[in-house]
Amino acid sequence: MERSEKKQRKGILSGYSKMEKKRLPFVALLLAFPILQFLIFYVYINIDSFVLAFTDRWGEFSTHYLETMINRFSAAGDNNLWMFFWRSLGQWTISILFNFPVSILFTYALFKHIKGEMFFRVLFYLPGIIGSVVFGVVYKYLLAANGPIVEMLVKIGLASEELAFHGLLRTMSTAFGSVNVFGIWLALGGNIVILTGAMARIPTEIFESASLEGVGVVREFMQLVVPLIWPTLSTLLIYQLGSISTFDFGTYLLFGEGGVNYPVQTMGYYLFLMTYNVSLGVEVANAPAALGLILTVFTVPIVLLLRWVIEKFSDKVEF
Amino acid sequence: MGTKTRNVTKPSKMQLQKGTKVFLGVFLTIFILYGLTLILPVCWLLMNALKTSRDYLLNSSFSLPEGKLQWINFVHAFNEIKYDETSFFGMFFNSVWMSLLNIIVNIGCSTLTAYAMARYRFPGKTFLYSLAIIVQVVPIIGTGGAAYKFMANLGMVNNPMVIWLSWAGGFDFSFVVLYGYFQSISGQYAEAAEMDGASQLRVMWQVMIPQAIPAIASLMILNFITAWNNYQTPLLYMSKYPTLALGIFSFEKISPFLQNGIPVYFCSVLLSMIPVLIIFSCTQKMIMTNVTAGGLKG
Repeated sequence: MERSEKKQRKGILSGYSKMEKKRLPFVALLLAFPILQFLIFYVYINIDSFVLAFTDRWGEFSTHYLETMINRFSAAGDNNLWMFFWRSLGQWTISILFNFPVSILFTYALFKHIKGEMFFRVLFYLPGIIGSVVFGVVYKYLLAANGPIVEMLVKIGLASEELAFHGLLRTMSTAFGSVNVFGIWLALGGNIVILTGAMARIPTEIFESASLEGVGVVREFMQLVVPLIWPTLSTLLIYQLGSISTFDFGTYLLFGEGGVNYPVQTMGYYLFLMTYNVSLGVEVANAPAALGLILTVFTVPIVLLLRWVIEKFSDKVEF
Repeated sequence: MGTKTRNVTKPSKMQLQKGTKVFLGVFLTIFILYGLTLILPVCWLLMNALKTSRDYLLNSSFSLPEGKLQWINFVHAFNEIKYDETSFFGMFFNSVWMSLLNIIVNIGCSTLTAYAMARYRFPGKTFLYSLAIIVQVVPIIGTGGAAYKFMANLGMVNNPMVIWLSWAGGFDFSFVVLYGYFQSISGQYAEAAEMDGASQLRVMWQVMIPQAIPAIASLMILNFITAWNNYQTPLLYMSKYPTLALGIFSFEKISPFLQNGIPVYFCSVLLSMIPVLIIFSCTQKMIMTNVTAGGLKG
């Protein structure tokens, strides 16, 4: 037994130099805590969440919460989970198809040394610095009944009675649109820091020779910049894929718990409310675990497929 | 031939300049408009922060403050903004220690993990790296409830002595950036130090980590800003130690009922912005040049 273990160990470490073997205890020391932390706070919690989805509040095997959640996908009224999913998917699509390309174009314009480059660079990162809480507060008051935007709409006769009384966020017909505008507004400058670094790494000679050949700005962007920063773009895209079914533009920030009274609930908002209710002791952890399992089951294949497509486009550019 | 070349080159250069000029002109207009939407609301906030509560509620929200500017509202903000029994200064203090602790444990662990993974060859390295990427990319949803239950059972909720354990993840986004950065650093100095008899710890601490300081420092600042602005984690796990972000988020519900009401609340919002603005303006150049340079190469 001992001999076979020794043989196995020898097998694992064959091909390692003496120096490398000597370094192994140090490597193990460096990685011990992060791996232990990962096992506890990721692996264990995920397994526990899976178990919770198949048990009742007393820990007995039950599919009650799973069935409840599945039924809520076909429930009538405003609490239909498909509705929440579609809202998340819609906001995610806006983020990928609008915010992301715009942030690339913004970074490119800054990269081309637009006037006031440094000022705009800092300004666009402002929501990231000051934080969404501050901008959320400002946005809420701007759109409130006595805020400047509603005041303006009233003056030009575009505000309904309901809108003039409740403000844009608290009016049923404008609430969700207002959340979407908030998400778009705040995230336009979102990726500028990372994309700036990616563009800065493109060798200047490439631009010089393109310029000598009379390559225009559109062609330079489409045929040089985008392909050359594709590794960064694809990584950013792949990172964002994970949030496809739970994406949220900040509904809790703008509505708190009150969002349940408006047609603004997304899957991300709903899951956060459930977790918050677990922390208050008014909900058991089984319910979010069951919903999470259902979402994971149909999100993972979509994410893997999209990831495969994105990686197919990657050319592994090295420079 | 010469003339021909000149004739061909000149218009194309002019075209290029014209195209670039149009592009930059269009984007300058967009930038100014978008920039205004970011600046004007903050100016509006400041203007209304200097009003009396009566002035804010009765007059147009576009109107300038009536009479004397209410700078005293900032003093009221310090005195009146509270989350349960925690004062403004208490929340400020909580924001500082929580953000600092967060960056120390999080970036500390990510640095050690990234260093070990980028510099050394060891069994299971490829598996570990793939795992680190997969867990970040493939979503497992709805574990928040289980995480809360687990941490509550261990007595970690509202416990500053152990809450940091949950922040000490070594396989997150910072790991990806630092892994790339360490890979781009030449190992020559480290090898020379090893030849001179330096221990692995010394090589890491005195040779390799100093070379990665720009990336580590930039990530620390970015993580500090994120932690400073995070209101959801303190809301769930540290509500007895409210931060400024949580206080501002929650105080909005009761601000209209206070004596000095909404303008004072606006003052607290403005005050909460100052520390991160100072930190970012002092370090923005370093962040812009270092975070991504070695970073996200797929």
